[in-house]
This record gives sequence, C-alpha cells and structure tokens, in this order.
Amino acid sequence: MIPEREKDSLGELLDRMVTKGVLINADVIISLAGIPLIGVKLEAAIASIETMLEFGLFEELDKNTRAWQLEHRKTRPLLHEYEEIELEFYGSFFQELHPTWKYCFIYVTNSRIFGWNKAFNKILFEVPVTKIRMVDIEKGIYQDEERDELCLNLENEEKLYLHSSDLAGLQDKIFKLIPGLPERLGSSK
Amino acid sequence: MTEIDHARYLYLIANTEEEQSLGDIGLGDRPVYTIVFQDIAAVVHASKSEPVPAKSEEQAEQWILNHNYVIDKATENFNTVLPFSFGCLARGDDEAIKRWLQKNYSLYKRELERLKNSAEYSIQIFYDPGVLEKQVLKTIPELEEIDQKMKAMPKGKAYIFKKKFELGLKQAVSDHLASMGREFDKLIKKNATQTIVEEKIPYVPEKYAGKKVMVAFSCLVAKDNAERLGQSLETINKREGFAVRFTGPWAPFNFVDLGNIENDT
Repeated sequence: MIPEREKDSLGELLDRMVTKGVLINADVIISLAGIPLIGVKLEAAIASIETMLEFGLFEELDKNTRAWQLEHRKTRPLLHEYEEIELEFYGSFFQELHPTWKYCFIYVTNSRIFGWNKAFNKILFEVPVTKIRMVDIEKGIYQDEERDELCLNLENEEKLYLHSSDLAGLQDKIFKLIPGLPERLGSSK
Repeated sequence: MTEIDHARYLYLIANTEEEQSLGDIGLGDRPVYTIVFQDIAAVVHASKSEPVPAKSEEQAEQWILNHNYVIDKATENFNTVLPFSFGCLARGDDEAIKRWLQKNYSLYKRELERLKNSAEYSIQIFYDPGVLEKQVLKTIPELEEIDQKMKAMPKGKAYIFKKKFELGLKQAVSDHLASMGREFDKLIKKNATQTIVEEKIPYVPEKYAGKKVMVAFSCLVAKDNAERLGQSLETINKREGFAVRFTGPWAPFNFVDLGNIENDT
C-alpha cells in the first residue's frame, strides 16, 4: 500500500503542527551571551481558531475539524470547591516573566483570577486574590497605540497586566472582591 | 534594524551549509531563508517581536498550511529536518539565532544525523465489529448454539441468555483483536526504527465511518524500508474486517529527541 498525504486536512495538520514538533517552551528563557532568546508561542493565533470553534462559526470546515472540536470542547474550567465565578471575559494578559500579551478567557472568582485556554483546557496563569496588593489602571503601548491596562501589583513585587473591553468594570469587580484594596491612579508603566 | 527585524519565526532546523532564500512561502507570504552555523541552519522568517494574532479563522488556517508547506519544501531541499511546532517565535536577530545554533550545535547535529533518510509515517488500523463478531461466532460452537437456542425461547428466559451470549461474544472479539494485534505489531515493527502508539486520532476520513479504531501508531521509517512497510500493511488491509490508513511521509514531528534541552540552557 502506498502512503497518502492529505495535506489539506486541517485536523491532521493541527495535530502535528500544534501539539508536536520541536517546541521552545514559552516558560523557558534561553539566555544567550547576554541576549535573551525568548520562545513565545503564538497563542493568539491558536486563540483565533479557538474563538471560531467557541462561537460555532465552523460550518465551512470539514467534519473532521468538528470532531476535533467536539473532543476538545470544555465549556468551563474546573473550579475549586466553593469557588464561584464573579466575572468572565475574553481578554489578554501580560506577565513580566513572559513579556508578551496572550489572549484567553479570563475568570475572576471569589478566590482567584486566572486565564484559561479553552481549546486545550489549560490554565495559563493564576493569582489567588489574597496575593493582590494593589490595583490600578495604567497607560501601556500595544501595537504602536496607547491604551489603558489594568495592573495588579502582587506580593513579591510581581505584576500582572490585564486587558479587556471593560477595564473599569473589571477593576470595580476586583475592588468589591477585596475590600480595602488601595488604588493608585494616573501612573504609567 | 527596524522593529520588523527583532524576532525570527522558526520553521525547522536542517542540514545545510548554504545561506539561501526559499522564496516568499512563509506565514503571510513572508520571505523564508536559512540562518547558517557551520553545516546546520535554522529556516526562519523575520518577524516583529510581538506575535500578531490571526485576523480570522481563514488566516489562522492558512498559516498552519504555510508552516507545513515550508517544512515540506525544506525536506525536499535538505533531506530530513527537525520541524518546529507552529507558532515558535524567537526573540533576536540573525546573529542571535546563529549563536543559539552554535550553543546547541552538537544536539541538533546528532538528531539530524540520526533522523537522516528517515521519515515519519502514521498508521491507523480499523476494524469492523459486525464482521469480526460473525467471524468469531463461527469459531466458537458454544456461542453459536446459544444464539440458535435463544430464537426459540420465551422472552424472559431469552433475555438472560442474551446477556450471557453478548458477554461471551464481546470477550471472544476482544481476544481475537488481541491476538491480531500482536501479529500486526510484529509486521509493523519489523520495518520501523521506532514506533509510538498514538493516544488519539484527530482526523478520520469518511470512508472509515462505522469502523472502530484498533490501534494508531506513528512510526519512524528509513526510506529504504517504506515500501516494505507498505507491503506489510497491505496484508493487514486485505484481511476481512480490517482496514488500514497509512499516511506520510511527514517530517519527524514525533521523533525529534532533544533530551532535556530546557535544563541544558
């Protein structure tokens, strides 16, 4: 029998290209004669496939991609006992350890804030609310344009930046969740 | 250097000493070229350091096809390559990539040499449960007897026999599959350098609908053995109740072994 190549099958290619092959892990910073060579995954590109699956806009795709989607579809991340979702939105986050904006579903619950990649059912970042020391809105630059970003100052001097279409609503929600949290306005990154 | 040049999107690592352009075949038709260190090269395109999300589903799809095309094209030009996963962006310019190749040279070279003249193939074996049940039934007179008796029984009594019958048949089919599995395994491993069992199959063509997956492998196969492997698979494919799907050659996505590169660096 002669092997076939179904080059146009997205399902088959996705499996190989996305989940296999040499991968520079996003968590690894390869230090290189003083110049950091940072491997970052184009999570954003994957997210766009994920979003299209999410909203059911896949009539155009073949059945196989749908099968892939069915297998991967998880409608909710796994929550802890007594954990309740206060807010969920599709947005992006930025950590100083992996300095690139990544898109995902972001959840604010009564115990933590976390990012969830739906297609791969993976928690991308996670911050217990007890670790948040201060929250403020800062100016940032993204794709050459200035915009507002929500900056969470965490214990150990760490920072987490979040972006969503409703930053004020997000900030409000976090303030309600953690009474007595100090606010600082007008600073910039 | 402009902002555009601050990162390199990585497609693969290949055996070549030649700095060359592969044409505008990258993601978004970007020019793809080699960055050489001694006799190995990274195949890349120059990119902004921030990953730009795909604007639409079509674009994301197109990018995945582009990534695959570059790997295919490079395999044609350079023999076996070490393929990167989709979406690996390295921060730095050509010099940074060169230093990175230099640092990991022995590791990449070792893998390139080990995988030279080999390719990855994917094998999926399907079975038709209905056909196998019939085959098995013929070989076990006890079961066939119950089957006949049941037809003449009152409903309640037949029900209990039916359960017993189904359980026995299920066990017999699974024993049959296990013995076939050992035979197929031998046939495949004879011609493969390395095999791994796949845990899931993301894509099954229409023609296998209604059949069940018996086993799925990815195999690393030397070029000289590919034809023999095909012949072995043909004998499996010809068996009644079984069907084989054989795809490839692929770049060795499953078989690049960089050990603990993350710990080394």
